[in-house]
Amino acid sequence: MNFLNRLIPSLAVVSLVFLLAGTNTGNAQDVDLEQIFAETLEEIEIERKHEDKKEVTTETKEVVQEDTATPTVAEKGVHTSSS
Amino acid sequence: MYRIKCFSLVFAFVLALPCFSQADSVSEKGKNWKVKLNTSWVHEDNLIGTPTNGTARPAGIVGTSPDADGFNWDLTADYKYKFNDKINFKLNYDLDQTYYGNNSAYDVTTQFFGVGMTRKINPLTNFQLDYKYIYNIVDRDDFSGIHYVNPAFNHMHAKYGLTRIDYLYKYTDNWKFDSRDTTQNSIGLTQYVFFSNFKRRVSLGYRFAKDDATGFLAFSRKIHDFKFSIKSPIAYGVNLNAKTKFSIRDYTNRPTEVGGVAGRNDYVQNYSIKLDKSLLKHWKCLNDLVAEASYRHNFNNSNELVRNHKNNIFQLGLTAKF
Repeated sequence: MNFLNRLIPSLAVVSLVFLLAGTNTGNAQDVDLEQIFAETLEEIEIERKHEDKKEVTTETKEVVQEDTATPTVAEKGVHTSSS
Repeated sequence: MYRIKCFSLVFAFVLALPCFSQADSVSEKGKNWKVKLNTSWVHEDNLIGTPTNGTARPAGIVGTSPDADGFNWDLTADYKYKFNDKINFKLNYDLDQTYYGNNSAYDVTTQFFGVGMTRKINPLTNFQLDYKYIYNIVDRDDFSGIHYVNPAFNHMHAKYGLTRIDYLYKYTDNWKFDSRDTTQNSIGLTQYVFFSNFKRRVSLGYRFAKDDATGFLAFSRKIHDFKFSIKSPIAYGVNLNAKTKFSIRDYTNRPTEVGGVAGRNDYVQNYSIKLDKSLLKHWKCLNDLVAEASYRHNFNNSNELVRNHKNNIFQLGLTAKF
């Protein structure tokens, strides 16, 4: 796992260098910007939904972990007046 | 019984697909609906969140195996309605289930019911408003319901790329643990920069969130999220999507705990890399069949030892887009 932990950030840096060094920036005269805008927003929306889902799943798992595995007295015993 | 209901729903969708394709005679570009089905194998080496420090292992998870193999499937259906040249509406339904076999306490089913609107201000600027209701089931029991409202402003600049500013309101009603009821307000800014004539992109984002626990103050917190991502085709039709997220979570009202500390601070690191490749395109009603492989590493570095844990997640799957 240590190897993978180092591999991921390294890949990210290598990819960034590759992107910045080996390619040019977009040229608005050659492409339909409106179409790129619409397509990118659609991709962002799909990615955001994945992120939301991951976040909800992770948060739900955290709650299950903390409420089934918590060793604390305070978490169970101290409540606000609203509860 | 619950599984049978869910699988019935999927089969109903699959059976209905030919009807959709017959009813919709417009070209693919003008199509106003989309259906996507994803299935994948999942392996997590620390599903239950066993602390990195063995001596701090909570009694509740002693004897439970930390690693687990699971099966995930996800069905998405989208419908878009063009009201006029400036306004679009959309409807969305999403069902996502993960089964972990022996660790069924962590089986999660998430359903998203979404409606949204996009208002075009000019060809390269728009305003979006999304509402979602997220319904979570854990281990076959109703777990939580989340109301989610997300207005966003997007602007595309020919040279500097796409800028997105959004606000998010999220209210979580936890039916199982009232102490976990939370209201979240957050604001985020993300910049997407394009390269290689818009084929590749890099994004940098920051989000500030404030969680106000309505049930139990100890769960109130402030969150700072920093995100960085790269999306790029690499070779032989394979696409790379790499992301990293660093999150600071400051629990503002944490009381002194047994085995814990008064001011809990978590520093969460997430790294993910995903490779995907299209295997089959435009076959009958199938638009695209994509093979996907991903790896995620989550590290929760907390000053509260029992919350100090790492998890590695491997996922291998297929996505069919209709």
